Amino acid sequence: MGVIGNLIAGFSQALALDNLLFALIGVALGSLVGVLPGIGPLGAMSLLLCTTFGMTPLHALIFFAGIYYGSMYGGSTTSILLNVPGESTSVVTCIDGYQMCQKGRAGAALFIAAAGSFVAGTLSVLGLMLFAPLLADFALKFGPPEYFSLTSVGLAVLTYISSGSKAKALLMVLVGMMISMIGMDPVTGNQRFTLGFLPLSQGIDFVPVAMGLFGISEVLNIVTSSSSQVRIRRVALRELLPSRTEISRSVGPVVRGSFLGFFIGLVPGPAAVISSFSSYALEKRLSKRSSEFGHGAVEGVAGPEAANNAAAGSAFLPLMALGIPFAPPMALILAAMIIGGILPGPTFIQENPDLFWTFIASMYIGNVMLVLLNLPLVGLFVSVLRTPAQILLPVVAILCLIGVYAVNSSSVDVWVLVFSGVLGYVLRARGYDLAPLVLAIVLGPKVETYFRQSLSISGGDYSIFVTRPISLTIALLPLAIALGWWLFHGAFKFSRGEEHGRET
Amino acid sequence: MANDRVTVGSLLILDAAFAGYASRYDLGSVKNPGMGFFPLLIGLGLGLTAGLCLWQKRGRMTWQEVPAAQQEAQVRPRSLGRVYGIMGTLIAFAALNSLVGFWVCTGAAMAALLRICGLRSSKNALAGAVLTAAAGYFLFEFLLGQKFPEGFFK
Repeated sequence: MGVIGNLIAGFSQALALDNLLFALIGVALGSLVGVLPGIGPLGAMSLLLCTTFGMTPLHALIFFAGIYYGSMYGGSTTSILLNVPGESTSVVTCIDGYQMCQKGRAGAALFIAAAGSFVAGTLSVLGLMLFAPLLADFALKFGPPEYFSLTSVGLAVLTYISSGSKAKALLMVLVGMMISMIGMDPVTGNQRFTLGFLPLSQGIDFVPVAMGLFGISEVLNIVTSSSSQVRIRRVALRELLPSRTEISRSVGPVVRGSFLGFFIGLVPGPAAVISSFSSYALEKRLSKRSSEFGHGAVEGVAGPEAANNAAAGSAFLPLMALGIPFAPPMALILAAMIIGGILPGPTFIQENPDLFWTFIASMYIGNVMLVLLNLPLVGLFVSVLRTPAQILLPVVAILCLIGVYAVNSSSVDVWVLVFSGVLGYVLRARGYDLAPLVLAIVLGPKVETYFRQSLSISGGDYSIFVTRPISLTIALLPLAIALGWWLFHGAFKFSRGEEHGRET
Repeated sequence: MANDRVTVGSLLILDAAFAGYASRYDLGSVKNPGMGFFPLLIGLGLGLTAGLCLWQKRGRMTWQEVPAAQQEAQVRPRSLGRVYGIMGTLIAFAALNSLVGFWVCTGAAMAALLRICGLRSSKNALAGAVLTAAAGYFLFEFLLGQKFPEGFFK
């Protein structure tokens, strides 16, 4: 069956009532999570991981994916209306979105953000649908050296692109890998670093660490930050329509943002955040009205919103085709799939075509649901922000405690959650990015396993990592991209300089 | 700055312990690494990076810094009291939930957190606690069939 046939079959299943319901609950929760500052998709998915025990793998996948890409939509709403980014991906939308709101164009900004998100989300699902099977077929040629190159290069790139100090990001990656070494040696099966404590023999689970670092530490962080009751501007339905000029000015940024976001989404780490900032910078450079940026330029809303949604969609590509999560929320989706007895990887699409194509179809449907939900119900979502922090924060903390125990029925996990929360609070306050730590916990054991398996295959010959063409290419790819970007950047600056010279 | 040195210094101490522990395991050889080889490598990498950070912080700052995040850390004393209160509640929850019972602990923790976070009415805090424990029990034990420590109620 071809792509179209598979997709039709996928739609026929995705339109079943149960699948529609899980998609709807997922995207609605995602929008809610996106609106609320402090509770990101990672925290929400961690909390809800225990609920996937009773779900089929398909339901769990549709549900969690809905939360993830739904949160990208919700984040822009508060950025535009309140200058409060619900998600880190929407920080850049505050700049021009809020200025548009101040000028009485809040409705138009919301519409453009939603339409841009929809177009980008749909295009990225299209990309995922076309490229995932190809990449999965190609990945069948991968052996341990290729996977070692992929995972270690992933961690290296993650260190480089993390926010703040690179040294601190490297420290976080190494601490994450250190934590991942606790438990069973992945090759011999012997225990290490357990200090004779039996519950540690299975290692430290990624879920309580993620919930502590992103959930509890956020609660502590919000408690220390000054909070004031927000004043919410009401937006009538008729105000949502943008003018013709606004639409025509948004088309280019949305298309460019979609492509940029899709490719940046394939990079490990906070790709959605990077893509939104990159798109903003790109639009500002390309725009003939660059002076309007920062004062309510519609391109500054359309581009970044499209980019972060496209990145959210393409982040599924490495997970589905290679079985490697390159973003913390993807690690949770992987966990949900494993709970359901499904292991993503190169053979996943071949072995589970129904699951994959239904999931793809549900993402198309989810994107439509998000537009239908977010535009008319914008007031409802924003009104959630009226919930006082003194009630919201204890609820989040308690949900973390219950959720973390429910996943493994382990009191040790509760301790890990509390310890990670305190650690996360301290590290954040010192300017450390926590995403590299969490991803290193997930990728650390894989890096070690592939490293030792590769040496076992080659009889201890380290040249195996550079003599195999695919492994070498993966290792050199970031360098090639960096070089290409540097050349492009140089050429761009040169041509702008010439133009500037001619003007003066 | 001083706080950052403390953080990096703490990581360095932790790393020394980790690397020391790793060296007790079978290291194998460079060609055939044992179970201690990779952790030792990570430990050395962490030690080197942390050491470099500490060394660089003695002089001028060459690594990018995030002053905003450090400013965030300078919080009001009252907020800091709340942070300690929340941390204490969470630690008490982790220590006592299997002894006292998960849902009793959940209720108590909720009441404490509500008060710490600024809810003035004790009655409301108590109502919130009972509601949370009841809702949690209904959702997780009754509907989802999860088992939680019963403590005194065993």
